[in-house]
Amino acid sequence: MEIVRLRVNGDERVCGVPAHYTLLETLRYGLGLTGSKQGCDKGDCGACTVVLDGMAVLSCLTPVREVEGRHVRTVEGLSRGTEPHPLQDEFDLAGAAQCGFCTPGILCSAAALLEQNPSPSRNEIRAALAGNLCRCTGYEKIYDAVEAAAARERTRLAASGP
Amino acid sequence: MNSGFSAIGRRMRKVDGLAKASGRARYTDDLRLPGMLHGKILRSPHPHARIVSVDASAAEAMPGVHGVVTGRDMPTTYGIIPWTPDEHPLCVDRVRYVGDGVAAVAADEEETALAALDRIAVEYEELPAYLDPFDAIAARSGPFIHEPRRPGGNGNVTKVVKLAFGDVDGGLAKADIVVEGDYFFEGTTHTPIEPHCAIGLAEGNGKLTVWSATQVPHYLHRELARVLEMDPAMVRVVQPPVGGAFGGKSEPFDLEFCVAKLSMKTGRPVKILYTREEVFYAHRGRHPFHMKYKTGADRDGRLTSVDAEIVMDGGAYASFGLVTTYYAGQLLTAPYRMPAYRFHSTRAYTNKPACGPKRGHGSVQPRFAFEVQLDRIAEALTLDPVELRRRNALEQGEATVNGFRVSSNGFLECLDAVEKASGWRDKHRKLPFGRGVGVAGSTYISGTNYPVYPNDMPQSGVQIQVDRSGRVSVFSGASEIGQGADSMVAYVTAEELGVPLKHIRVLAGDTDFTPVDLGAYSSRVTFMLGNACIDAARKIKSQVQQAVAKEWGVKPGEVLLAGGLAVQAGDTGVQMPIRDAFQLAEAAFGTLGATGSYNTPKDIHGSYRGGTIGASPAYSFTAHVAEVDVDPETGFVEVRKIWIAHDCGRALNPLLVEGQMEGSAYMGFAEALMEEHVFKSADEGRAGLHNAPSLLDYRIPTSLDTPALESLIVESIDPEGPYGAKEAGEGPLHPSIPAIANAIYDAVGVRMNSLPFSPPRVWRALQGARTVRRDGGSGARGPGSGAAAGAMALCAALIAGACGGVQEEAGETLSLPAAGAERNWETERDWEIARERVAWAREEGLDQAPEFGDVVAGIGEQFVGTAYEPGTLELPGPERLVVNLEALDCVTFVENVLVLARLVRTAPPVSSSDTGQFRAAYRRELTRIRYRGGAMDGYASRLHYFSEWISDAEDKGLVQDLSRRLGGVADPSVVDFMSTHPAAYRQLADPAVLAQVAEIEARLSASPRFYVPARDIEAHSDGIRTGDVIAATSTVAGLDVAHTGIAVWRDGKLRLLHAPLADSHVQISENSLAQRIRDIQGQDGIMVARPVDPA
Repeated sequence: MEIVRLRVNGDERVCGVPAHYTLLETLRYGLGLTGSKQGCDKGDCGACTVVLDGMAVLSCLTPVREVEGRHVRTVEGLSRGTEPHPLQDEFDLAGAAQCGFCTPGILCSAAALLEQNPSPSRNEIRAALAGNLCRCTGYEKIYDAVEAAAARERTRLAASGP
Repeated sequence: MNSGFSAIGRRMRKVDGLAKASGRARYTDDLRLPGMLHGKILRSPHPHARIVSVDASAAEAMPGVHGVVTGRDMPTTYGIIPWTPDEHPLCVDRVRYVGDGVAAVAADEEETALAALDRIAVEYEELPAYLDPFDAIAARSGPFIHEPRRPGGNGNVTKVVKLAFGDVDGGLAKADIVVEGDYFFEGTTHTPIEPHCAIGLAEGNGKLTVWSATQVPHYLHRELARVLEMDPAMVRVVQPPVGGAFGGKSEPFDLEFCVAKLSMKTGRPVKILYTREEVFYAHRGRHPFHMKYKTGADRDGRLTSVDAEIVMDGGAYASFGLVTTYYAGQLLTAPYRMPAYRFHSTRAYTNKPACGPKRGHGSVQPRFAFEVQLDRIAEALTLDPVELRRRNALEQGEATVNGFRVSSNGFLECLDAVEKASGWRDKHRKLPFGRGVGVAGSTYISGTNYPVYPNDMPQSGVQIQVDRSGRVSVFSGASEIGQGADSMVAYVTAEELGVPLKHIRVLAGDTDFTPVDLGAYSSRVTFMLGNACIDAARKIKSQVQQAVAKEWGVKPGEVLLAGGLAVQAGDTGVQMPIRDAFQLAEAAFGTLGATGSYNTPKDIHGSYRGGTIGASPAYSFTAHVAEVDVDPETGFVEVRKIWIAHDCGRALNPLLVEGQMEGSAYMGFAEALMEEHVFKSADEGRAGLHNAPSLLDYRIPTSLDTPALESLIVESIDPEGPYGAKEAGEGPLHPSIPAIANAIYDAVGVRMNSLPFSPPRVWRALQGARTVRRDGGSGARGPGSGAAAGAMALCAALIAGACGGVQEEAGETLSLPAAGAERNWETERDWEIARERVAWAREEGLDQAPEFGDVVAGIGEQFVGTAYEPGTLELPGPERLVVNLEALDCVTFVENVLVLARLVRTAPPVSSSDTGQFRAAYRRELTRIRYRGGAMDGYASRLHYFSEWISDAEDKGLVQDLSRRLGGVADPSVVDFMSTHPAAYRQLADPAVLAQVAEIEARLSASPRFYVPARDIEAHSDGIRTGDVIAATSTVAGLDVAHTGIAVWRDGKLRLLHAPLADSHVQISENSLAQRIRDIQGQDGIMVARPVDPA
């Protein structure tokens, strides 16, 4: 057992986990944050994707000890207070989540994308999601949702701009 | 768009959409129960072996291990199909594939459970393994994979089905064309992103609860009770949200029995989560199919008979295999009318993970083969493949040949939709080499009339409870697996009771609290559960209407429930909140609740053994067009786009229907190009070991791989579906694969008959086609085999030496031209040449020249020195417009010169720098010149006989035939060279094309044609001008013209500018035209046609 200190979704968390635990295991088993999914446990599917210091990373390949003191954002931390993140709302509106199992990882990849690139083209969205396998949708509705969310974010930022 | 509905037909949110997008949805592996143990399953390393002994004592003694179970703890066999119970939860005395479960351990930590597996000693006696279905079927003595059902039988065969409808042999005999083909569909697996997971909880009071990521909680409930020998009333199955299934979770798996038994043994809750590798071994996916099809059609393309033979590689257990063996044949009989049909399908056991139902169960593989067969027929008959499908479509209300009622059919609308949206008519057989389009159609069931186990109870049930707060709870037995089953009942309830979606709660998939629904498989849920929900909701609606009607003093039928209100139909100003209406009803009738159910029609099926299998209350229809790019260097196929038109009856929520259509097409695309669920052979060291049990090596498409997908919903409004709805979850997968195969053919002219169309396979097919072409056709095996070039009538004669000074008679020993082999239909070099010629002509001022003939001759002369090459139009594959300016024969020389001259003179001028516009104009002109009536429609539409070329060109206003005016005499001889030398033309191997050509010949022979005899040419030379098209008539029997060129007056002599065989490049003759014709044996005169100036 090892005590790790993490900043998860804005909370300072301390928990004891086996030293070999990955970030995914720590989130799911140590902290009860089961939104991040395990689809393959070897970095192939992307369902475990979280946002680490603004970058989308595979939590199943990330040893938890490397995350000490860094900012981790999971699907549970995307919402803004009581409001869902525009990505979450647009995923619902666009039918972008069918079985929903890849959805948390895709949302994290998309959130990291929009933070770096507020106006991604459809091809840039495709490229950003290339590490997240979806077996249900054929991806079209997911692109639709990310595009709509990006547009909403731009409108919001413009409205609250200088 | 939304006739009279308030909720149905609208693009609405899903009831679980936000829960899934926020991480709140709790899947099975997200559940943790107090004191929960972790289980692991020990799996066989051998593909086939006897279990001699299992000793788990060392594992049981390990600290942290709480229990071990082996096969002997659960000796009762089970199977999803009651007639083939051939599995044990854990193997008792025999393992049948690498990965077969042998023992299971529960421990407090996952690592401990894994370590304990190593302490279980299993002694095996290895048996010969069958990895190939043909070997398995051929076995004459044991040990078989399963015990033969009859003494002396073959225990390696699950099921054999032979069914025949109509006069199959007669239909083939009377067919004008019979296409035969061998096809192989490789196995593929579902690959849901959520691995299988189950939790067992034995409460100690005889109650057992199993949570499982299953799509069939009811069947799991039954099998758990049976295998564990429990009272089913003491077993509860809970199905949390499922992270994808696609048929891969549609029967019980070892982990579900193991968590139950381990919990019963330890008194603690036990969870087992499959590793991704275990998911691959659990499989139950698409069967590999080896298929032979014989398809007969008349010359109009109407099917006369279909004969199929299928061998299926089933893997180690029966699974749904009995049904699969029927589906392999039964589900092919729509959307096309088959006057006669026979199939013979055999499912073999092999020592590999069991195959089962994957999206489009049993019918995706035959559909691939059959739709490629149709494409070949269309090609052979020079019919448009869309038109061929239209001609064969079942009519409205027409039953299938095997006796299935088709209650609604939107197939023709699907064809129209994809044809239009894809721009089919401008693309098919018209795109440049390397790009192509393909079409395919299909049908699928909306559930089955007969359930998996025989019973007369409803197939689906719903219970609705209404609260005085306005909240409505729907208890649904169905399984939400991402397809939207929970949302669908909410939409139905909102429609019927007029409540807003947010006031509806759906509780589903819990056998303690929800009515029975048989499960999320065979595309049955919307049709059956939807009808059950309407049934329940209308009972409550009726009570609410009565109560409100009494309040308002109107008839119940005048009370409408919509938009959160009860409204009076005659006076919509009279209304009340729906909550108040519910309260009135509760006061009048007591607590509001109702059940509803749906059962299938049981009297509609074929009246023969097996005639119930495939019978469905309604059938969906689909058509796809796929557009592909094929890189001939690497064999890499890129699917640019798939247009998907699907008749789902009515789209209850178009957004979710589109999601199913796109997801299906994606999955079909994945099978077409990427996926291979394959196993190592003994030669590779480890027989039966999965080749690639990971999501990295078993390649499923990423966002970058997946093509653009466009959904086109067609609504046929089924008379029995809920609001007219039918299925949408499986049908739209089927056509992807053959549409892509057919598009590859359109792009590069190779038939892909084996899946997947991976770069190595496509590359090899292309190499094969090239080799055959180099061989000059010796490898030709009939139509569609990517065989060697054929030839124009003229060029065949040229090869035989009938012109250009080669003094030989055309004989029976015609060889096929081998040229054109290394070249595509057009190249960038061709376009450079074309642009250069036009630019040169404009620079020379030829666009303003007084005589059009000077433009023709001037451009023609620019080609002097260009290599002669026969057969440049004879590339393999369907007839396609060839633009080849790098090498010319006598006709393509004349044709291309004419095109260029016309482009130079066209006003407004076509810019040669606007690439797209220039190429389009060029292709348009060339098509106009080269094909009868200016329309390309297959091989026979090309103007092979030059006398017809001239008369057709005259009809099109391109030339003026001067032969008669220049003293021409009638040529009475019959034209039939092609039909009497069919061996010289690859395309004539097809009797239908041969018939077309013969018909054309008959017409030509009957129409007068005139030529200037050799002896009269000199006298009439003054009437011939520079730029006139000259055709040298032939003395070869059956042939009209032997050679062509362009007249040029040079140094006072009328000469011929032409591409002759003799000197192998374009040149101007030394001798005069008259002299030439006199000297060359085999030519006896000329025809003269003067190009018409388009300016």
